[in-house]
Amino acid sequence: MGLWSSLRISGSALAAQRVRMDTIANNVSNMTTTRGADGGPYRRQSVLLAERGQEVPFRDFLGRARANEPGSGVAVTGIHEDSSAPRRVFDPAHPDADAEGFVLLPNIDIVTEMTDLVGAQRAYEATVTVLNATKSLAQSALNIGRG
Amino acid sequence: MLGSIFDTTSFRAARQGLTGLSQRQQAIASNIANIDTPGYQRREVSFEDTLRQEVAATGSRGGLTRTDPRHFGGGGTASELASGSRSRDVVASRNDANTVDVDEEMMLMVDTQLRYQALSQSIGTRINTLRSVIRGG
Repeated sequence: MGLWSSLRISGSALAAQRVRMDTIANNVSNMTTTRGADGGPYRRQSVLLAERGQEVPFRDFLGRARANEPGSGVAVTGIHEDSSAPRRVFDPAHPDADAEGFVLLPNIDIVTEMTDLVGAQRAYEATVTVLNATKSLAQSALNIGRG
Repeated sequence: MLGSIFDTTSFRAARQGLTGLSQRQQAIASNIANIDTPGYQRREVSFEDTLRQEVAATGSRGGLTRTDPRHFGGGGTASELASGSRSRDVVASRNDANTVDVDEEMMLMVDTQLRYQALSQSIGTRINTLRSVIRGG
């Protein structure tokens, strides 16, 4: 119901944005990883977000389930691997260099990662603002009839 | 007797108003949560029109009845709330077809917050009035 659902929704958004930031951190720290999980260079990862399906918690179900809730949060549906071509850098001294002396480096652009990071950060902040507003609504509801 | 004290039209309207506003807050939370979800369509909760109709249908106990055309309209709590309802054609201005505008959501959120505080304060005042009546001053 209303305010508790709002808190749950904002919680799901905080978790999703955090996963996004983790993924970005992973991308940046693997910027020069030439040996990824599949043997080739590391591939850029990005988070897939989708609106969370209508979930009906047990106690709501008990107390007459609401069919049409206004929104139910966000969920990370998966982590997508960017299939674009890796960067080719000439570095014959590198142990992973091919016969022509080129090394395949991950397809990560630091500027893209940074702008993405700022986006995730701002979305996180906006969610915290909503969370605080919901808290203040609950607070004023609790103050009804006091004093 | 006590039942009828709490069962006035305005009291019920205020309670419905609080419920509606908390639902609206939920919609805002959902919109902000899905700010980066591709293809998400923003949600909106509008309840004021329905509430006003309900209050009007309940009869004269809720508001004032105009017996003379020169009287001012006696708007109750519900009609003051009604200014918030609006319709808007949302056009996605982003590549990912998401229709959430963070500025608008924030403004709506502040609006919701203030209305909620005002309503809960007015309910609180009424309860305190009743309490002082019960205590005998």
